[in-house]
Amino acid sequence: MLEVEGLVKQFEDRRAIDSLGFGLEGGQVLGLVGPNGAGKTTTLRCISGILEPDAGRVVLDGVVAAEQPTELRRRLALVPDEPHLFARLTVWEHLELVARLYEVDAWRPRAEELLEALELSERRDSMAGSLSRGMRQKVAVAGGLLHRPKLLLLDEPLVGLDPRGIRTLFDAIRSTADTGSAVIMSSHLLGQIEDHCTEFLILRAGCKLFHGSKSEIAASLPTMRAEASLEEIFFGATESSESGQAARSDRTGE
Amino acid sequence: MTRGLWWLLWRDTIGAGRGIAARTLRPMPILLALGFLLLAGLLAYATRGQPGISLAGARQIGAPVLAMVVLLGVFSPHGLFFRPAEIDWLFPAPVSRRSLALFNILVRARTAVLSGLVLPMFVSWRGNDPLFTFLGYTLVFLLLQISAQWFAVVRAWLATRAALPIRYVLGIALFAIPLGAVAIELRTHPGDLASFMIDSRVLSMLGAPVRPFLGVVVAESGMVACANAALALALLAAIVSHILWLDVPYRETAIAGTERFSRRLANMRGGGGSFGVSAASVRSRLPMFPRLGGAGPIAWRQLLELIRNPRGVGLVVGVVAITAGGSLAGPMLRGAEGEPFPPGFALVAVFISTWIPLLMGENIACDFRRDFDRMPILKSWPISPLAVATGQIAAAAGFATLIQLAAVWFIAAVSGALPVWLVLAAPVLLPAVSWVAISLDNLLFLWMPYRNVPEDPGDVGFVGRTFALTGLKFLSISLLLTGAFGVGYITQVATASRVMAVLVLAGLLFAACVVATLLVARAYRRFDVSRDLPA
Repeated sequence: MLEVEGLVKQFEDRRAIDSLGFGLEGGQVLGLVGPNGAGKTTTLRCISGILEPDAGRVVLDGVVAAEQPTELRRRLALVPDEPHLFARLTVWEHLELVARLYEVDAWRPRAEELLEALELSERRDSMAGSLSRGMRQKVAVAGGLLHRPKLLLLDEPLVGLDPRGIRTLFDAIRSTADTGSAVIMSSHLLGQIEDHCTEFLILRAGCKLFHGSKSEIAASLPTMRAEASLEEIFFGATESSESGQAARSDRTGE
Repeated sequence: MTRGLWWLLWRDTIGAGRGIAARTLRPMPILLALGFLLLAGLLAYATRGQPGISLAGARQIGAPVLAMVVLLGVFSPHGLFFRPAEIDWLFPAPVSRRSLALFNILVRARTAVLSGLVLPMFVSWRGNDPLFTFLGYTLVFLLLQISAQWFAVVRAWLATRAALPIRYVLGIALFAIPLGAVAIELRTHPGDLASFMIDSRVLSMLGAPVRPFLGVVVAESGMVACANAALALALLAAIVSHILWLDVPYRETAIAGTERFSRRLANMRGGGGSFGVSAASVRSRLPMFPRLGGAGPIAWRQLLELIRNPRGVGLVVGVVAITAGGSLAGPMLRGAEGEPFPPGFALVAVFISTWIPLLMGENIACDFRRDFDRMPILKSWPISPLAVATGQIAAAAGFATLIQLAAVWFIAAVSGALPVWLVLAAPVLLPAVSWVAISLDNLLFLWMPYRNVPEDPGDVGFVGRTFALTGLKFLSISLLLTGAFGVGYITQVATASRVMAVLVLAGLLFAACVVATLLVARAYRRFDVSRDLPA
């Protein structure tokens, strides 16, 4: 479904992503985790085509990003970490906008269904400017799901959601994956996402540290228990990488 | 452009109209609108004997000035501005770069039309026919918006082809060459400044591309207006075509610019001015002031934050220097032997340098406006409202006075054309003017809390609010000074004593400051943090 090969993104003074490669099948939910500045948001932006990578290749459903960027974007949805809405449009009008941008036919029943599922029906005619952060997040998610994307990219989607909102979001993610779409979700809330992701990609300073299911990553770490939590795996992975780097630095005298 | 983008443009415009209608009936906008109309009315009264802008004036003075303003767009960081919602919803959507660029141009066109409707209310800028004036100003605003976008696209295009030093050289040359040519021509011109503006070939060449735009504003017949509008539209079409033809990958630049702008907005909404505190500036120290009932520490905190905002302070000082310096530059450049410096130019420079620190208060706000997210903390301190109000106003007024005094004395020294009484009276007049102006800003804020920050770089409502606030401030200060000088004059006539007149004048100004402070203190005491904090 999704192939990412040798992705590189250089900003003026730093390399945000360095030779990143991974694949994802339909129905899989990938948890993208890493410390601050690891390159999670940049990775999602490069995959979605709103940033052009300096090198590498993104292929989604047979569509190569560099060759058909508009077609690629038709097949995916990106829900950003800080959801900005058009203050002068209502919740319903945001969904209508998505329907028109993505040329979705007979979108109204689907929109009603999403509003119901995300508990937004009562705010359907509210102006976006009057919504709380959690509500705005839900509107952004509804917009992302309306056109049934092949790939759903969620950047820190849990921030600002109340417990019910989080459960609703995970339900929506699960049902999206059940229809054969792939989902990538970045988050710092490791305890929250570990039961909802089928696999994990751990990034650090733009590089891939580990990619696989929780048990596969745990198995590749020498001292990690098989039943370790994602948080333990995360710290084990990032700390082993740090000590590895320190050891390499010691050896090279850097 | 896709149907979705057309639909968004339409719905967003309808929503903007609804929003303006809903806001118009609230007290603050009504008060601001009154201020705006008062200023427009004063200008109409002051210029009632003048028929309008002449074609020659537009050609010889307006065109080169407009051309320079257009050129300033080279440095605009908002040339490729997209609202955060546009980035979130449109950038990942299946929409081509060209469609997005066209959408951006149309959003700017909408802003230009609204600006064209509002700004010609300042009748001193009027043309000969209201319709041509509106059309002309709309085209001028469209040119400013689209040219800024064009410069940004060309910059992005150059970035992929030329090294940074070459781009810097090109940017400097763009200004240095015309300004240098004007300076050389000015030095050799035999007549006075007014005749230079009319005779200058350099200025004529500089203004040529934008002359049709002003030609519409001052057109005396439909035919002339149509001919000029056709030329202006052709130029705009050429610019738009070039933007679309270049089709540079601007998304990354746009995201970075919008994130920068959003950070600045958040800073201003939080009361921090448009610049944050830089890491290097925390080295700046200020000794603690005496307590003075609590006013001392309040003023100390505000001033400390101010001196740790060197970019904000630098911006105000820079704008004062550039605008006041601009008024002095003409006579200075001429440097004719024995020719006295025209007093009018020196007075204009004084007026500008007195007003700018007061107008740019939002940018460096170090008073209640800065603290609106911290009002609950302020209220919890064991300090009387009068002391809080005094401390808050003192810092902002003190800073403004410092810049004003430095500017006035510099202008006096350079030009030698300022009346002696003005130079001597400045240390008495300017603190009072600043104190009352800052008090008025704070009073309006505490009575009807608002966040006077733009939503985006083309926010017409923000421009309107700023104009209206300026109008109110200008009117209040004018009334105060006229009244105080009037009473002072009557005192001099009645007592035949200049000393008595000066004492009365100073007493009146002091009383105005006391009354203003008491009003601010009362408004602060009545400020209800559970109800009055703006969203």
